[in-house]
Amino acid sequence: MAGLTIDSMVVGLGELKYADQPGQELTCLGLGSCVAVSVWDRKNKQGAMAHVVLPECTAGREPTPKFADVAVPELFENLKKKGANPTQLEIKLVGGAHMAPAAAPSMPLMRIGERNIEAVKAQLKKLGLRAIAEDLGGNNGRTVRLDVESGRVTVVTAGTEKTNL
Amino acid sequence: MLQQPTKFTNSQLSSWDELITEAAKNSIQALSDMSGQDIKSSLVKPYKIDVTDIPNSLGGADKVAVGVLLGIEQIPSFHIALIHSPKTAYQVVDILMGYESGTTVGLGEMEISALGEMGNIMGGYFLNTIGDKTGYELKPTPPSVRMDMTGAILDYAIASLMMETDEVTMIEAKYGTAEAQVDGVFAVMPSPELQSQIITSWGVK
Repeated sequence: MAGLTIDSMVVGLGELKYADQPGQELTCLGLGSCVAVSVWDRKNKQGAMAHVVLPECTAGREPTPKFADVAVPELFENLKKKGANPTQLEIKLVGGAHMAPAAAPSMPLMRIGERNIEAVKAQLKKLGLRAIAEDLGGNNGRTVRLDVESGRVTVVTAGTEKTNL
Repeated sequence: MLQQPTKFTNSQLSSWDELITEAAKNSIQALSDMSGQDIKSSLVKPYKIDVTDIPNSLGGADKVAVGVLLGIEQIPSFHIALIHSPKTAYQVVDILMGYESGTTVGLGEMEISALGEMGNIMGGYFLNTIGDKTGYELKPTPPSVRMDMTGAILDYAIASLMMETDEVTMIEAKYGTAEAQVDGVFAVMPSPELQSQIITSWGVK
């Protein structure tokens, strides 16, 4: 919208954020193996984004949204409380790149990007949901933005122009 | 906050800072041998930081940087990263290769190789210093060099650290020759458990 200042809300590592005001955007900066779950509620013109770092909260760990199995259910539960119908939401997934050093084949987090993707999709499936678009995998970092008013999601990789998702 | 965080005494934390400062200074000094030039550190300053704030402390998660990353063999929760802006990384290549300042303007195979070798040497000297002081032997993995968004470069290390800790130590470093100084960040990121083992093997209480 001409003349409107963009209020960019950065969704940091392991965070969930919500926005519902015109001119607001939600953004995850410099995603590597992390996965951004972008959700837009067309009816209520509200958006939400999760910045997932790890696939699952194993025993003994504090359940926080850095884990896919905590972030995804919490994201949709909170959107429901804000009046959203989960089956009418536009879900888009970005990130999950393979960023582990080549020298780390035996390390447990070697497939962390892939595992984050699998974990997020498994959680969506549990909720009877699926993404309508995705930009996942590869070997490069990404920045993703969700314009809360239009629902437009853009993705930028290092040194490239932004593309619509 | 993670459950059952490792508790260190002030004496242990102070000793740890001294140890990694000395190790970082030695690793910068070692670049002199590699380049044949007199490279010295003008600032080596350790500081604590929340793991989730690491990308912001380096200028922002989407800021493009050049990272040289090393892991530790058999230990997934210890990472060393040398982070420079692209312009600074080109300066570093000029220094290492003995080029006139401003010669390097991009990262080709040779420049990546030079930065990787820098990582090898700095990582090796850093860990050797720790080994010499504490008897705790650590071997670096081969270095990985990449130019990408800072957050993406460090995502793998951050993810593995976030499984175990909230806070890590970083080292701000300035170094170079008398003619050209560069700013960089030497990120030393051990899990608290490993940090505890190293400190304990050193005998600091």
